[in-house]
Amino acid sequence: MSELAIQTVDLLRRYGKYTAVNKLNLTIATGSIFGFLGPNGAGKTTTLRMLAGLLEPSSGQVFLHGQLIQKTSTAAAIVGYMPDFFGVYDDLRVWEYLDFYARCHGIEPAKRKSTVDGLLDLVDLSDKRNAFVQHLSRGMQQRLCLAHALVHDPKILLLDEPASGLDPQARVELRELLRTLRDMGKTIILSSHILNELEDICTNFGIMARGQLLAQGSLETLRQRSRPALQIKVLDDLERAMRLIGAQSGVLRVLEPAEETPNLIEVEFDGNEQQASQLLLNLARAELPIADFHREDDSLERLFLQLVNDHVTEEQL
Amino acid sequence: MSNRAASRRWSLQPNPIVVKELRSRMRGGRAFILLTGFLLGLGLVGYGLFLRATSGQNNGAPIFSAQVGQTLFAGLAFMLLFLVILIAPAVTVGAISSERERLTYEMLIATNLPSHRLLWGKLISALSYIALLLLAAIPLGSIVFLFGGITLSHVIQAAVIIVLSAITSAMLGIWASAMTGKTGRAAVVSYVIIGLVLGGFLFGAEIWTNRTTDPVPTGLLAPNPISALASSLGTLSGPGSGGGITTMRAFEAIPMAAGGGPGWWPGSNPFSNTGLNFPGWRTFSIGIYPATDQFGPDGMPIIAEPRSVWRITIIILIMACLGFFWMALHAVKPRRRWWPTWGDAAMLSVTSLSLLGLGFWIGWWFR
Ligand SMILES: Nc1ncnc2c1ncn2[C@@H]1O[C@H](COP(=O)(O)OP(=O)(O)OP(=O)(O)O)[C@@H](O)[C@H]1O
Ligand SMILES: [Mg+2]
Repeated sequence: MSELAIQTVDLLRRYGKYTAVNKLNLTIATGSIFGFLGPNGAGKTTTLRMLAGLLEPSSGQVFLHGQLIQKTSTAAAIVGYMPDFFGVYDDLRVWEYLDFYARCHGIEPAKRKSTVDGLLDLVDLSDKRNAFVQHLSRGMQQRLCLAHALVHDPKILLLDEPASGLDPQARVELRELLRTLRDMGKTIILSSHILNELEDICTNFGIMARGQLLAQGSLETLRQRSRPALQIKVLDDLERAMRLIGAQSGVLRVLEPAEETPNLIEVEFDGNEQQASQLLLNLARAELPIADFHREDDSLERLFLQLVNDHVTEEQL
Repeated sequence: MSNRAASRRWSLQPNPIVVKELRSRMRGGRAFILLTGFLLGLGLVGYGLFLRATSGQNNGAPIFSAQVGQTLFAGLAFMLLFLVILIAPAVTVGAISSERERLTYEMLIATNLPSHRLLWGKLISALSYIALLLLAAIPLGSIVFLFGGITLSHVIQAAVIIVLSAITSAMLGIWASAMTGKTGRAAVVSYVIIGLVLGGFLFGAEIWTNRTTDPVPTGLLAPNPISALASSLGTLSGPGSGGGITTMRAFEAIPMAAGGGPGWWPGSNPFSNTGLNFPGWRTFSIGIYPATDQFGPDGMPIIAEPRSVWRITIIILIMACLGFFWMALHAVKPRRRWWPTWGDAAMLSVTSLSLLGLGFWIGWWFR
């Protein structure tokens, strides 16, 4: 229990009649970097705000390091929170900005200056120490905001879409920074809807859609759940191709082509290679214009889309 | 980290909000432009009052230096009261809502800073700015003392009324800011309330005096800082100062000692019936002088001593401040709870008991 940094029990939040987060049971181990995935409106921000004690759950509980969170101040001592959208104070210099949050957290005057300087160093803003905050670039403000969340040396970091608005170079740097922080023993939760952004830094993932946690675990355990797939590009006569594919052995399901790729048929397929080659042969015999035929790798993105699609179709049934 | 250890540490440090607000507010010219405008305005009004008080308004009777001093003092006191009541909310209506609007609110709430320290910091930083205005007005205001005619207790009373009105007005702005979450709406709410209190009660008192000769009920006077200040200033020139009714007679002009020493009795006060001579005084002092049907030895109607409603006003303002603070305290928390806690109840009873005790001790309730 105590090595769990975060545990939620049937966490639920409603906005009026709408259930934004529905009975969430999250378990996040201490020292992990947890990637929170979900399409827009999945309820990621709502969940993070409840974890930070900023939003009251309609029902259910949040435990941080085994401690039940009932007041904002209990959570505040344990977590550092970086919101997805944030503003900065005009007319404050960079060091004053961090100094302000250090004061808010009640850090002793003697330690304040070294804390501020250490953080500026960590997020690589030392040379902007005396610049005005509103004159920093978006990416610099993002880093400064991350630094603000670290002022009181929290055990848990909640970062809501920390990489949005960053250029590729800055993303690489952010990744490095997060690794450094994990090595300092912090548990980090970050949300995103861009998957490959998370794939190589996160140790664990939670996939969320429409307020529900669809899956959680390490990349390995999640991969086992993903169903392999085939992608077949047919240039013409799509209807006939789909009917034919659907009748083959090993085929679980034929998905409608997406609008952006009208010729690409995606097939959920758990047959062996023999069956795959038979399928290709049959398509060729039927004189269908096949331009591409390949197995999809079992990326997180696939799993993500599968889970979300399954969830949507389940709800429609 | 225990909360108590943390709060002990905090109590030794300056409020972070104050530090931040002073750093950003005092930067740039805005604060000083307003200060300059404020002093210029005050100076112009003071000069206007001086011209008026010395320009034959006394129907040929000699003009006493003290009389000029009193008019200047009363006029400037009202001017300060209005300025302070109008400026204070302008400084505070954004206190909480602007944090929400520029998306800094959550990060602020997500710190360990207790809500009461947040509000307190906002109040103090707004008041420190207003205090700067008031302090800057002191050199100008002290010209009044060159003319005389004012006692120390008048200065203290006026200062208490003005400062308390400033605090209440600032607190009103913070309350509106916390409740509405929108700076524009908070400004509308604050100024409507101020308009209703300042104008509404005066208007009510005016209607009352037009309808009946009964004294205006205290309930129409006490909540209004204007009436409070008028009731304190009304004692400046003694009984009969109800609006400059007649000229003063030179033979009665025995020197007036500070504090209204010898020669200060109803009907024979050297300054009786001279009145405070500045525009608006008649309106501001509605209902302050209870009518009597007695006449002095000179045949003039004796107007009784002004009612000291300002004592009750002070209590009302303090209670209003505490009420606003309490409501704002609950509104800034992410988890709003309106049920009073035991702490709230205890605080309320302690405050009301001590105010009551204070009231009885000074005998305020009996005058
Ligand atoms: N204050 C609110 N009032 C009403 N509905 C809200 C509020 N905040 C969020 N919602 C709703 O709750 C749902 C979840 O929102 P949330 O912001 O948590 O999604 P998200 O996963 O963070 O999405 P995104 O990727 O776009 O940031 C949405 O449907 C949203 O409309
Ligand atoms: Mg979000």
